[in-house]
Amino acid sequence: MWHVGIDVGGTFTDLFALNGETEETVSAKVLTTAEDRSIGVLEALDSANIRPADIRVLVHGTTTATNALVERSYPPIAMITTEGFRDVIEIGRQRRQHLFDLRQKRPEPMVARRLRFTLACRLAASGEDIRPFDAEEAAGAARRIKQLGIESAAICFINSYLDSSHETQMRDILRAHHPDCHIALSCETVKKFREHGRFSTTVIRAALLPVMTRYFSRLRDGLKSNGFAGSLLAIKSNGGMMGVDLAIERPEELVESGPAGGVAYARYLSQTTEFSNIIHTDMGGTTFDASIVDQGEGLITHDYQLEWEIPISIPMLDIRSVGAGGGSIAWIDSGGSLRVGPQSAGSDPGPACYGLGGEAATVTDANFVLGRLDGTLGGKMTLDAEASMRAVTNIGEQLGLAPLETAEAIILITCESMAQAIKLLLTDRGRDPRDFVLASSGGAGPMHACFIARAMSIPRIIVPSHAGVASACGAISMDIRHDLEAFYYAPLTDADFAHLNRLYAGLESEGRNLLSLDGIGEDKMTVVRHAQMRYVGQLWEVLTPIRDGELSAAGAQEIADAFHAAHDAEHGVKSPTFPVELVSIGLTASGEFMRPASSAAPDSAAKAGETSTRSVYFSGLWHEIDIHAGEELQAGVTITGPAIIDYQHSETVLPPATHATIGADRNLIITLDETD
Amino acid sequence: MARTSRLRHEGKRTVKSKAKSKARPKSKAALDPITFSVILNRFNTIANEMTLTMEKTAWTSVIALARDFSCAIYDAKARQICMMDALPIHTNSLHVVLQEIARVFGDDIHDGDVIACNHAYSGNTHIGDFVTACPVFHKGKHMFWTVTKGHQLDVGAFVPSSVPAPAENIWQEGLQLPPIKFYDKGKRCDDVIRMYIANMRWQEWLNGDLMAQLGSIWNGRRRLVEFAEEYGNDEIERYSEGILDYADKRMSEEIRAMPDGDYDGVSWLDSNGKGGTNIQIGARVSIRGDKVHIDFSNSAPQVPSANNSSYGVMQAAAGIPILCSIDPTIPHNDGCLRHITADAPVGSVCNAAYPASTALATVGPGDTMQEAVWKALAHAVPERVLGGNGKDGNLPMLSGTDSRSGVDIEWGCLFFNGGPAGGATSKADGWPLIMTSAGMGGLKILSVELCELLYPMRIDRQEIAADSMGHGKYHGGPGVDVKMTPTSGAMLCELFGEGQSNPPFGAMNGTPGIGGGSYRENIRSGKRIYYSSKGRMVIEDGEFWAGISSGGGGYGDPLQRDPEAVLESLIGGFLSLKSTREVYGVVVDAKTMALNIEKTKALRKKLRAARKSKAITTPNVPGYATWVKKSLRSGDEYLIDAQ
Repeated sequence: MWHVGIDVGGTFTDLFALNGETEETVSAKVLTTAEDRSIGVLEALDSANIRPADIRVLVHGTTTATNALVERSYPPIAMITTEGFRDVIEIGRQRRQHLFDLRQKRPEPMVARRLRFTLACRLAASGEDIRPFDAEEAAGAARRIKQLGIESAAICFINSYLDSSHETQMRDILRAHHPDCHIALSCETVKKFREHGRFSTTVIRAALLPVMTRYFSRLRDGLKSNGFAGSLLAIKSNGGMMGVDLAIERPEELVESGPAGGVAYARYLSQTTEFSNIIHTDMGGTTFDASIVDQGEGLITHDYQLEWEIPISIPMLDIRSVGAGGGSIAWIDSGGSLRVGPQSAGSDPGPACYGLGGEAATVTDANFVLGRLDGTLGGKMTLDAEASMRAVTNIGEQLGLAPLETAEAIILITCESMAQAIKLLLTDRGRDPRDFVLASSGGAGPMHACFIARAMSIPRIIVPSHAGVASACGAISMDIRHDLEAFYYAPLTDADFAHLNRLYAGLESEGRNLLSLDGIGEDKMTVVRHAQMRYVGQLWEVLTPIRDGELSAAGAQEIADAFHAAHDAEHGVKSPTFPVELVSIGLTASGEFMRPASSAAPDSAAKAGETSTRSVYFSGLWHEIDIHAGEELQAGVTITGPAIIDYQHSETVLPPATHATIGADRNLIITLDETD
Repeated sequence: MARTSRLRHEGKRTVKSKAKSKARPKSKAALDPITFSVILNRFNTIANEMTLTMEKTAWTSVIALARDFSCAIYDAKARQICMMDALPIHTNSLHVVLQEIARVFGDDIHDGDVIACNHAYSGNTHIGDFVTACPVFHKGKHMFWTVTKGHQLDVGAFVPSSVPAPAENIWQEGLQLPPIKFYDKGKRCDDVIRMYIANMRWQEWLNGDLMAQLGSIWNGRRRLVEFAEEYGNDEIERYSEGILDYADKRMSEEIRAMPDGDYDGVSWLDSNGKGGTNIQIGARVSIRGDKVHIDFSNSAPQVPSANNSSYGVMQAAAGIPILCSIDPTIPHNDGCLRHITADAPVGSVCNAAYPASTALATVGPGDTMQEAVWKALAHAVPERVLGGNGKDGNLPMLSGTDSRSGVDIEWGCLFFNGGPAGGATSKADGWPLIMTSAGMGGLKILSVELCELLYPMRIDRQEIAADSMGHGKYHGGPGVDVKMTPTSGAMLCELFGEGQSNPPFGAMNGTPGIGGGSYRENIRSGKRIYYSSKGRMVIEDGEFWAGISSGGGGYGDPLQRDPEAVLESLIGGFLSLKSTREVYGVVVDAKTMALNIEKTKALRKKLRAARKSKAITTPNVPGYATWVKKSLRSGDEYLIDAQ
């Protein structure tokens, strides 16, 4: 039986599978089917010769949710909120992103203002019901939503983190009037105060409910009708997985579902290689993602924003994306300078060389013109050299540049924007690039890795053995993971420990219950507790680890000490004599799944095998270089650049002044030589 | 609660030593572009880390939530090297106060010192802004300063406000701190800090903010020392100079692209703080080659309240519109600042003479000086300016006694949630709640739910106000309609606003914002008392406070705005049917809400024909605001500069 990982990206659908009995692995890459992405999933299985009936577990990462949000292509949604507060999601916290840039535009709110309805009911901060819920008024809003044919609604009342009753009453009335309407409640989506983050996350849940319900039902039906009877899991933004039934209810947790698989692969690498600090990058056809794996764990953010001032207030892997990929289109801006992306030719029509009608010069075309790309894309199609040349020449003529110069400029500009994205991430998270190795994945990643690393002063690169299908491969090395939270606001000295113990116990049983729904046995479950804490009087919290077992007033100092240490680690300062308080508590419940086994130790006597040669253009010169078949190379082999290592789903380009060694598990380790 | 004297952060002062220095042999060769970019980014990272430390560890909402502070890095000559998304009014003048700090202490500046200052006559902006500067030494050499300026919730003034509008002189403003050591060679000056805290209200909060501010400059110092260790002093200095030269060169190109000439703009302060209205501020912007000079001679004499500018604010306010008119990717440092000079007669409202109060300098006079410069620039580079930003209106200082827990707790809060909006530009609509040109959108509003937990208040409404903005091809950001009810007895509300009689201007045929204003209302009788932008208001038990802030000024001709966009604004409630028709010339059926394209074309043609001339800025006369006049009902009162 197979364990299958599938990642549906903007351009390609990737598959990686491991046979639980024979330990055989197989991978596949097919074009994403934009109109119904579930078709591509079935095509990928077909291409890998895996019958749905032979699948035990299928782990699925998808960018469907993100695309729907970014393109605002979800059906119109309504919001029902407290009178006087319908603009919480429009006003935001009202910081501008670039203070000195006057001409920047604000992202459009997720719900049109005319579809934001209000009710007079109001809870005070004390929890007191100062204006009771009016069922008649609520019914009016429900009727209007039904009348407008709205498919999904977010219910978000001020102070509902204290008491869910107004929101649940509104839900019941809306459901009674409009049974087909999807409904998201803020008190269920984020169980914490700060209305902007809670409302925004709830609205995102509401926007995605119809989209992801449709998508997953179609996928499940497609698989089932082909004999699939295994478990279907979805990759979550926090780097874990959940069953598809839960994913349909909590689609806001799928926003980083695509790239999270790649981070899981980097995490796996950090546990199986000598590199514990990895900058994971993934370049596909449309986007470039960067994230950090520090000491074996992907960095999590609690301040994720989908777009400027559109927060999703749940813990998520800190993944930064820019619109740079193989399909990114080169164009000339109004000032006459060459730009690349973020517009992508996607998979249809795709780059000019695909011969599917694309005429724009893309990054893939530039690579092809420079000889860096195999003309058959690993045997998947025959690329049209003339079409690439025509597209690149056309752009070059507008700039007064020769085609080869133009192609090199396109690569340079793309690599620079990817390096910038990584720099921004490292800056925000206070990490030094020189403490890291750059891991390069994705179909287009290893072709550009050396150029990006050079722009960042990172001397070492690891190209994982399954770089071309990294997210799909990472998908089958993941755990099931649920992050759960509860609001508890009190100074530590006043804390009711019996109540705290009950809250933790409640979260823990909820976590264990969720895990067992996905078939995780008790012996495979891990629960780690934490709390959001701060000094009394402070206004921002620090995530503090909390130990297992019964908590009591006698152990309060231990909790305080853990907070002081966490504050010191996060901010470089602490005030051990000052009283501390709890704001919310939480835990991470994870369930261990099977992982691919490690294999193939390097052999220092290994030699490179047969090679072919090709002319490739670097820095103004043609070089006749060796093309190695990546799958044939033995661990231990060293290759000196310029050279190309050709894999089934990606190509690694080694420019001059580099050398590479095949390491354990056939990962490729590249070192950049000092150039001056 | 712990006593104030026990509160102390233990700052990390150890330095990670790297075995191998990355310094290359010193040479006169051109700067290596990769190293340049690494070093430039590293400065940004360090300033960013200083900012995060301050924001995430502070105690008062004005710092931790509203972000009214700035962090920056200076070289040993007090030249700005780097600042990251910090408030323009702070960072464009921090060098002025830092130079004074350096001058005052001369040779007496040592490793481990922390020097504080809040004194406007020592180059600071206004008394509310508290500066802490930390000299950074490496291998015995003074290399940098890390500087953080934070707006304090209190300054020990005669009223509970760090922006005391009625103050007539510096002694009423609060405790004056000319450059003074808080740490001397690493030793905490306990006596000085005790004296400082003893003069403040809400001492535990203020002490917490001081600790956050020290943590910020110390984290900056730690990172800079590591940095110098890595590259070596000489290399860092060489590249720092290169960073300034780079900004200098790009700034030079930008200014050269602006047409040489003298351009004038005039704006008005609402009042002199004592009942006298419409105080003139005039700016002449002179562009010559790659230099800009701003002269505020055409301005009124100083006023007998706190509504005067300090020298530092005058320098900053003159330069901000210029920095906002250049390519935003140019790093803002001394290389840019050296192209801009500014002057105003001593004793004028733009540059008050000792001992006049300048407690409102950053907001009232500062924003109004910026506005005059913007209006002048509209004649030079119309495509780069914006419709006016809303000034500091409906952002009161609140205080009182919180008895909700059964124990009386004194509290205070700068309440930012009712602030005004930003102006439109040639490319985009304005942002709501930009909250002053001084901050330019760098301030944040407070979470409603958090406010209601922290302070004895209920926020009943916080919503966009229809028709509050200036109209145009791009409209200004809409103003906000806020209503707030005290929940634990009377609340003191110190208003220190601006721009409610003189609204944000419209540019290039765009129209002005409404100005806005606020009032308190008796819940039973419905009687309202309106207040001008400044004044002391007590919101009594049984009353609420409410107001509408001004939207920003519009940019471009409203008749050119996309009719579909106008329709959506109408349906969404941003616009009334009246302005849809009369200002935008868009005809919509009031019943079906359908757009009538033919009638719209005809109406727009008619309105265009009736238009006389192109208005570069509107208004060019004082007292143009409309909101108060329209809102006053019979029986309501309107108080100017109430005390």
